[in-house]
Amino acid sequence: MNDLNLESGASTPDVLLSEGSGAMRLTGECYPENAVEYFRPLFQWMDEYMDDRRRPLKVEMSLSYFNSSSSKCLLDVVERLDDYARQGASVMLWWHYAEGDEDLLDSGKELADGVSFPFHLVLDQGA
Amino acid sequence: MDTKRMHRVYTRSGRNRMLITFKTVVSQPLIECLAQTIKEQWGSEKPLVGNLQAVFVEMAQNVLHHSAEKANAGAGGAPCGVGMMEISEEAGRIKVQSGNLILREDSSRLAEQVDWWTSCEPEERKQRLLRQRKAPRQGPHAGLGLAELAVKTSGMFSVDFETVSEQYDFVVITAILETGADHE
Repeated sequence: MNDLNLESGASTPDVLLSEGSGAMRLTGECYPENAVEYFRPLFQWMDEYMDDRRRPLKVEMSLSYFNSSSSKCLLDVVERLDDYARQGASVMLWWHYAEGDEDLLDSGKELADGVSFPFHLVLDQGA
Repeated sequence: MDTKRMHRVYTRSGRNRMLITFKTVVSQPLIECLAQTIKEQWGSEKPLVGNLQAVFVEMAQNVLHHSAEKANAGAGGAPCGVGMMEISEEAGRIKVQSGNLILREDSSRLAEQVDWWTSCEPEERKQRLLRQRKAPRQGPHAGLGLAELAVKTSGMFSVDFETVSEQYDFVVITAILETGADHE
């Protein structure tokens, strides 16, 4: 399978999904016109990658802002990861938030609620 | 004549501390451009800038997707909603408003939803948003925009309608953000 590498746009994040390293990274802002369409290739990549439960996934999310449609897609991402982890796969996630950004911290806590894999809330000092 | 009119608009905009005002086809590139303007103007005011960006984007994308009046923003692409938006500042608060046509049959449903949100305490709004986010998707869009506005708005949040025709109403959504300061 191919890596998925999407460069950031004005309303979309940098996305890197690497089969070789088992890394998923989303960095930037996320409020595309149609979040479902935007996330579709990410979900396709994840579904293909997660066909083999021996593959670990390390997920890093540094999203400074996302709109309500994207928040639902992020929840879909975390639910997929949780299903994968419950099948025995190794999954870890780091959720970055800037100092003083309580909303982003709260969003991380909400996403982390009830998941079966390590979900780290990471404070980026001075961000 | 036009110079006088422009000067009146200029003076009134200054007096009312109008930061952004327009009526046009609301396209995604326009939203991105204005979101960037908001960040440049308010970037040092955290967490206000985050809430202002969120309220603006949700309102503008609501016009883009749900205005009953559509037009093409440029060559190619799907038609976008037509509407107006204003961001103005008064002492200690920023008012964000959108105005667009809406089908009459949707007006009462929207009014009921806003009444429900405004009757809730802030924590209840957050919990309800969370439940809605986890609910199955019922269309191409998440349908969470109103909920997000209710949660991000620190002051008043309201919706008003004016009858335009048998088929359409004009809907104005207003969200007030408390800044706690009087900005220049």
